[in-house]
Amino acid sequence: MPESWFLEGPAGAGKTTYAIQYCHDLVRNDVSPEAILVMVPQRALGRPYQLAFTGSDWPNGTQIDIVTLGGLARRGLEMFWPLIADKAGFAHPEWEPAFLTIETSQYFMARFVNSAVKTGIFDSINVPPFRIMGQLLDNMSKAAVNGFLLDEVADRLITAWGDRHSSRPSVYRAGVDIAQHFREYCLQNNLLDFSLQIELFMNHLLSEPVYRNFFASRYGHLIADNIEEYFPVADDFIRDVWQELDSALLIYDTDGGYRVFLGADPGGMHVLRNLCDHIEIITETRVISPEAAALVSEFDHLLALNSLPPLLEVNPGEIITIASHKFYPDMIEWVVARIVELIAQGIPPGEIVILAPYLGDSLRFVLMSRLEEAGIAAVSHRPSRAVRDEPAARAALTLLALAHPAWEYHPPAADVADALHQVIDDLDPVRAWLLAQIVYRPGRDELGSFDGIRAGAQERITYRAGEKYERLREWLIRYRSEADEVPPDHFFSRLFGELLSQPGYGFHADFEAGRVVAQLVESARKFRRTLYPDGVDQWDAVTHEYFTLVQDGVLAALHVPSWQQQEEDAVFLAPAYTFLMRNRWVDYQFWLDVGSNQWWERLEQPLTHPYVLARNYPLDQVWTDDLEFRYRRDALRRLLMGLVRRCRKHIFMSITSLGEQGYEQRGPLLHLLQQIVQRYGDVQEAAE
Amino acid sequence: MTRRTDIWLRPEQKDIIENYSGGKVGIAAVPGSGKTFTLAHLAARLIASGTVDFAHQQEVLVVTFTNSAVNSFQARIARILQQQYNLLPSVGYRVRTLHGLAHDIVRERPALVGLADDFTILDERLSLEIQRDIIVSRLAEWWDMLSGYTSEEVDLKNARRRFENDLPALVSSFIKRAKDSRIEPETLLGTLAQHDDDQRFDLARFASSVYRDYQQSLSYRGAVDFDDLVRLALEALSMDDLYLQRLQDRWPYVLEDEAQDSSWLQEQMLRALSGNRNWVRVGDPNQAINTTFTTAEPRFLLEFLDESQNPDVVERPLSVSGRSVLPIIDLANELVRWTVEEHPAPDVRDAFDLAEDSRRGTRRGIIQPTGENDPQPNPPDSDGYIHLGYQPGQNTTPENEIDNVVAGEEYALREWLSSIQELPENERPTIAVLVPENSRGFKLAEMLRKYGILYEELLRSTTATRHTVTQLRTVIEYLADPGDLRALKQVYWVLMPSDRRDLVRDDSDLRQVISKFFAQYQNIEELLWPVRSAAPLSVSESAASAYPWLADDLAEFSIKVQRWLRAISLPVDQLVLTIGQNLFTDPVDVALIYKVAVTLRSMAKTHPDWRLPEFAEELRIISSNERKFIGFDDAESGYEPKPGIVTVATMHAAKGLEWDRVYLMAVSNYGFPSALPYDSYIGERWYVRDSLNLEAEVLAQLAALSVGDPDRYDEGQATRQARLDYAEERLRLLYVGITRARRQLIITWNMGRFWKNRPPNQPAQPLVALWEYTNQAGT
Repeated sequence: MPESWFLEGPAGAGKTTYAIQYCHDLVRNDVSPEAILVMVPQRALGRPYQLAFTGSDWPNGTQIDIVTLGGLARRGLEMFWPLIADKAGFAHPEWEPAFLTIETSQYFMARFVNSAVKTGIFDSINVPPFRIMGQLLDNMSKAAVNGFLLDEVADRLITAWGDRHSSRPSVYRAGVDIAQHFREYCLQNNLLDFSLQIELFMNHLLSEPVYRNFFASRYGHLIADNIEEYFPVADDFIRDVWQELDSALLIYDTDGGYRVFLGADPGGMHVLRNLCDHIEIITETRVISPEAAALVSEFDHLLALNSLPPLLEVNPGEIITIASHKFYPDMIEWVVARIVELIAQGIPPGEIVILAPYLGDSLRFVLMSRLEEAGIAAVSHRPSRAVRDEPAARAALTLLALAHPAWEYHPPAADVADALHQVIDDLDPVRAWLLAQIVYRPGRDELGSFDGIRAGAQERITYRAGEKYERLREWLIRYRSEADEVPPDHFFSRLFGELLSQPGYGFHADFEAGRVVAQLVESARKFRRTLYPDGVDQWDAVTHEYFTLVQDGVLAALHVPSWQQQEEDAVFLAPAYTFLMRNRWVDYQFWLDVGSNQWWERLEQPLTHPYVLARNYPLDQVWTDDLEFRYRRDALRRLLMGLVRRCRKHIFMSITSLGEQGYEQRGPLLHLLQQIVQRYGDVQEAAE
Repeated sequence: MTRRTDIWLRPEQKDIIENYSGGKVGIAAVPGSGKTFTLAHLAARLIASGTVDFAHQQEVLVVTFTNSAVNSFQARIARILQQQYNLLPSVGYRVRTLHGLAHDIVRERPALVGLADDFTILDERLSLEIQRDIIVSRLAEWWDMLSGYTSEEVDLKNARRRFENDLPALVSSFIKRAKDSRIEPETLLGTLAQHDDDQRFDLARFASSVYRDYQQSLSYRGAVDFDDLVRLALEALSMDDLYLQRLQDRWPYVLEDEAQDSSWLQEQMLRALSGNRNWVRVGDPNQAINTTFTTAEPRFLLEFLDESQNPDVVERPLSVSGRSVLPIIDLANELVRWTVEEHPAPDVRDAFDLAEDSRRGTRRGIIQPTGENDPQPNPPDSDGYIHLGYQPGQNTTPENEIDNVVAGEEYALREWLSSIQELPENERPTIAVLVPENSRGFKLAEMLRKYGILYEELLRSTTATRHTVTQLRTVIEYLADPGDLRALKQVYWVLMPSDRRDLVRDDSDLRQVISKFFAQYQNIEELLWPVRSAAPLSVSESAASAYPWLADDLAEFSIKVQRWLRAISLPVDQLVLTIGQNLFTDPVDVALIYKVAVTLRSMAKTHPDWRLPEFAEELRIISSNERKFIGFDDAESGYEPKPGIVTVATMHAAKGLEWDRVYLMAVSNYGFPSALPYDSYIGERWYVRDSLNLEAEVLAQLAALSVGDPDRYDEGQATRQARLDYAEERLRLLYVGITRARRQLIITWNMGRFWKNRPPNQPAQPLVALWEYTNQAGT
């Protein structure tokens, strides 16, 4: 039985600081850092620990494990695979397992979904196949993190649907049938998607004595932070290993639970306090002003209790400024102008965040370019983006196609010109276009040589650019002769390493492009390793398959994570939930698009359901609009309180009467603010 | 309830605004009786009187017909709340079109109807394109069947070409109606399969199969079209009682404007949302001009008003109008009376509502002039002028008609405009020329340009939208082909500020200098990216001294173009935004460009293979007026006619507006048939056998199939009915046209384009009748 603490309090109460101090104390008391396991629900939340344990006051060369449950599971499965492979029903326990990413899971799921779509079973829902794949994988994950069987997924969804007349129950059933085929396929081929990793870890590995011994001898001390964001399976895990720990510190953020719509179970995790010897509850937060605390209280009352709190002496309106605009671009101009003012007053850019309920690419681009024009350092959360939206990736893929004329995929001349312009430093867009017009003929086997074109044209393009073009062309020709021996990821890494990153080529000084290509390499590498772990005799067909999958959108998304350090030194632009999961405090927040309904909308999908597929959801309960409404209000309450608690000085809010698509906005946050305005009257209104 | 200022209300308005507290009310309103005014005041009073609970997010729901009406309603309610009641202007109400309302309902619970939260609403053009692609790919296998509809007397090859051309619109209408009637393609195909050998349904069979493929294609894209939106909203409401109840609680009052255009779906939706409690419907059955091939019908409003069918509905009149001079009111009333009592085709006599109102001793459709002490009385009769351009036996060609209106006759625009030049600008009268269809409007606009007469178009999209999009398109066209010097020159010209452009236009030397400047850069890269980066632009010394601004202007231009060229790798929306940031500063333009960017992005998603030439083409379609694009311009925010500037609009677009002087053109039996034997109809194609109106026929086939009773379909009957319906709707359209005029009204007609080869068009029957009436009355 460990000596254990349950530390509960709102954001800003100093809980993580306490936990870090606790680790220091352990180490000072001769506990080896390696015996400490820090668990966080998401990697980004481990950052305060990473920073703390690399500082000068930390023993050199020692490391603490900061992991998510998924990370722990994967590591365990990699190490102890032979122990469980047979028992878990894998057809080839003697083979190495392949850990699937979301992309590669979708790749394998695609074959089952596509054939089902052709039968018309999904005709009654308007969802494209790749989204069906995503939702079915999501259902599998939900089953795993809640500890259900797959059948229970269908049962729960069908019960929750109630007696509404529709074909939906048969669609749910079909979805689970597909998931089961997929699972069977994984077992046959040693493929481990996220759901299978969790299930194997919890149902098999954790009960293996060898693993138990390993765990007990390795870790004596558990610190679990932000447990309100954990999935129920984490509760099972903590209870399971509890007796083997020497000490445990569980940290719970009172108003957290931002990942409820992803399956987090704050209510269930709160019960873990009953395991602990000591319970510490902090009610005060050290960070925010009385006005912000008053605003938190207003939101809490209005949303949780649906009632008005007694009027406070402190005016919560003092920490907010509300501006009304008609159009989106007006809002952008206003935000940028305010930020320019703040910076001029000496506020560091890192103390400013711009938050939107949903951050579309167009909005992100305009804001970023306006800030850039104003000379303000800004970084934006980069969501997964289609490859075609990443110019550098598109250029690399165009070159890949040019290197494989036998595929008979002929990129448009505009793409070739664009690729040449991007990768050759001296080639401006007009000359690149001119060059492409001359040397590229769709259908011709190879690019024409620079030497082969008329002297006049050479002169126009310039010999300098011509020389670099020639090197690129030769590289592609050389590569072609060995294409069969080179896997797809090697093409990108070699192209980048041998040419594009060299002086005189476009990506030499463009770090952003470099990171995009690195992600492309990684994507192709995972594809190769998962699908062809033993290699093949001829890679050309594999490379072609990869290219086709990217073109068809199956392997569409590239996730280029922003660097957290960058985020802390610049104005950070992100969706509101993303900012919350960074668990950062700033002086100034800008809330965009306050009238939008998206502030309280969840990611709604017809084939899955985050609340129905939660462990604590009653098995016989129909999901009604009452519940929907209540859950949404609760999610909005958590979100708003979480944001205000992370603001030290002021929140600027912008209302646009017409949303991005031109629709008039009447969201619930607008109504809340109007009530507060009516009650306190003198909120600063910056009507433009 | 706090009230700052009182406004004067007519007794009928007062009765509605001040006495309504709940229940179902139907209001038949004549043109100019202030129905928007009354409804907006009613909404504001309901909000201000505390019957709408802000704390529970309650709102008065106002549903109207067009986006521009939404904006003008919002603005009006906001103003009343602020000025009259001293309340926050944006709380307590929501104004929507039917589609906007449906969007709200679906958006809030998408999974309920099988959609993901990021579902796409397909632009009308894209949905037609998908349908066209399906039609083209299937036509060969279906042609033998479909050719049964062509006339034996015509050249089959030519007929096929025309038929293929017309099919997409036909099928689109079929799909739209099937959705409005909430019939799934599978149901239709199931019924058709049971009557496999019934050739009468070949067209419906083809349309149903396209419908099925089209729906699958939408499903595959995760998209819906506008018609799905309304259907799905109703589905959501019927699927979840508690959701419906929540919305009913949110909207305790439903006010419906333009109820004469209400469709079956709209009625279903508002009936459900109002819970049959507090529902106020306002409309003018005599102005129902959107009924052809839609499910919109004035019948719904008339039935609502019918006491025997709805004893719980209270009728309130809005019969007084101060808009027009008495002779024009008289003319409009006469059109209604003549139609109801004397129209030569008895079957169209119910085009207008002229019901007896025994309580008031009057008839419902009659416009009453204002009473004494009305602060907004009818203009004095002395201002009145009516010219009906018809003389028995006198014919006018289309060209002559335009000439006459613009510059030929004593009533012509040119003469009249010069007569008002003396007046201060803001005191000049407003003028409109209203035409039955866009093409006539374009021709007229051409002539106005020729005579240098200032005008604004309210045709497909507005001049302002088109101008902005044209600028953007010109840039994109150049970027799609960056070696094209002519395209670059065009960019320079289009982007020039208008005062500078006037300067260039009037100065041939300057034009030559500019031409010479570009001509020396046949190698365009030398202009944009000179090898020696510091190379100055080559403007001759003499030019530089004559036009000192020119070198800087050109240098600035070339920097802009460089910036855009560097951005061509970006996704199209980002490229457009980059260009927009450099080009536009006016908030309306910036907002429009933002909207264009978002629209193009959604197109890029659907067409990953599209590059700049395709996007430029898309912009060309918008800017050349081939497609309606809703921008953030006058059309959206409520058009305000400008004094002394001619508005060119269709009669449809003119609804809700008014001008001092109005011309109604092309009032012939082609645009305004009277269901008489010699009339011809737009919907009846020359290549189709038996003069069938295929659109009417296929919709009749659909109607029979939807009730599972194919025997109900009688070929030709729908064509005959369509003639009557069309004749009725056009009579109402004429009525709308007449009632747009405040003081002066001129009506003209022409013989039609084909008068040399075919029997010429005749003056419309109602025009002749009105001419006779005015002659008898001696006005």
